[in-house]
Amino acid sequence: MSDRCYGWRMLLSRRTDGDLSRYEWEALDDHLAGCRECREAAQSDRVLHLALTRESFALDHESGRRLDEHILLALGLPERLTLRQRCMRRMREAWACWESIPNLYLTQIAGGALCAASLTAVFLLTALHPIEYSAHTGRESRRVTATHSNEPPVPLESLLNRPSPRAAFLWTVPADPRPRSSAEPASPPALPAPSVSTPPPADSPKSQQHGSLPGPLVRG
Amino acid sequence: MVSNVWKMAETIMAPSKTGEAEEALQRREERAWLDRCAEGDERAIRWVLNRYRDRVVRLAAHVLHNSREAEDVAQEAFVKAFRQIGQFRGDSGFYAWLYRIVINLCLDRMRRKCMTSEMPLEENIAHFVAVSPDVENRLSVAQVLDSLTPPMRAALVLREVEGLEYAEIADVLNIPVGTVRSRLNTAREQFRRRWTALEEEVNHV
Repeated sequence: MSDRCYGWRMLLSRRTDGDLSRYEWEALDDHLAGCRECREAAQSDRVLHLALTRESFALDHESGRRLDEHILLALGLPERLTLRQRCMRRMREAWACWESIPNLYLTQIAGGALCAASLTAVFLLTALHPIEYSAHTGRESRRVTATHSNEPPVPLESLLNRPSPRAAFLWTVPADPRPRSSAEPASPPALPAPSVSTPPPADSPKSQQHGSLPGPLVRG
Repeated sequence: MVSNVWKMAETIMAPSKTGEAEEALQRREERAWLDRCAEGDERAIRWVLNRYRDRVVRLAAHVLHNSREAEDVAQEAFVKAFRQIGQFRGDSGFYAWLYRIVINLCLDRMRRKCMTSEMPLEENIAHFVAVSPDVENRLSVAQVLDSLTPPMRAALVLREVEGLEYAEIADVLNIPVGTVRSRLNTAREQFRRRWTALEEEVNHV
């Protein structure tokens, strides 16, 4: 390299890095057109650039994962926590997340009111909704009476008298308040026919108390 | 023609507003993760590792030309960085701070061990996933690069491979910008001479 080219080589290096002004760029191009040594130097710079950029070392996935684990181990991570400590940490994180909600109290009140209103509405609507049992299949089929505009409006009493389990639970009073037991026979035993036409006294306390027992015998 | 090339270069190099906004957003996100790293959050540490692991290993591998040494240096650098992350003020980019640690560790290691180019290079390369098929050419280039001094090689790798600006290289190597310019020029000049000598030798054979 001649001494006069030293400055041009410096410009050549800076051109590789994109550090030249427009004037310097044009002057260097003019010089390269007339200097073979500097053209070869520019070619060498390209070889170096290509070699460095092409020689891209890439760590494979397994080596990368192993390196991560070594680094975390050297840092004392992951922490050896018991189940209780982990649960406590999760709860703290969840609480911090809950507390980070803006206008927390307003949100809580609004959310609670909305939930209560929704639950009440769903409960009442399902109670008033009629349910019919198909005569053919025995399967439960639901009929929406409100959508049939041609039908006359159904009175509330008839709706409630239909066999809806929830409506029955809410609105109807059981006709026979006696509790049923499984031990009770399906049909009471038939009473023996009275031997005499004289009916037993209606106000007999024994017959009222034991309706299933035969009535008193009349001698005669 | 030169003016056309110049215009094209200006268009490419002109910073766009969208790019700047995205960069600022990424910097804020990175800052948030780094703050969590300072608290010892494992997820944040994994995020940083995932983002910088490959670049750090690649940088160390280019400077040291030894895969095992590069992994050791990367591990050492990350552990040191995470332990001293409280000292990172955010004046410069995190990568510049991290690269400085890596380069210093590489230079220390090379000074200590006085590494030469006699190491089995094929074994080192086989450990990595090689991209280029022309192994012979790569080996000769690697041989010439190995003959450069570590500070020269570090400057070259930071510029050519990592694409850092002069100011960023100066920040990483802790030298003035003018020195970066002259060091890069000297490194390229040394490479040119040795590469030309190697080519002539091959032609004679």
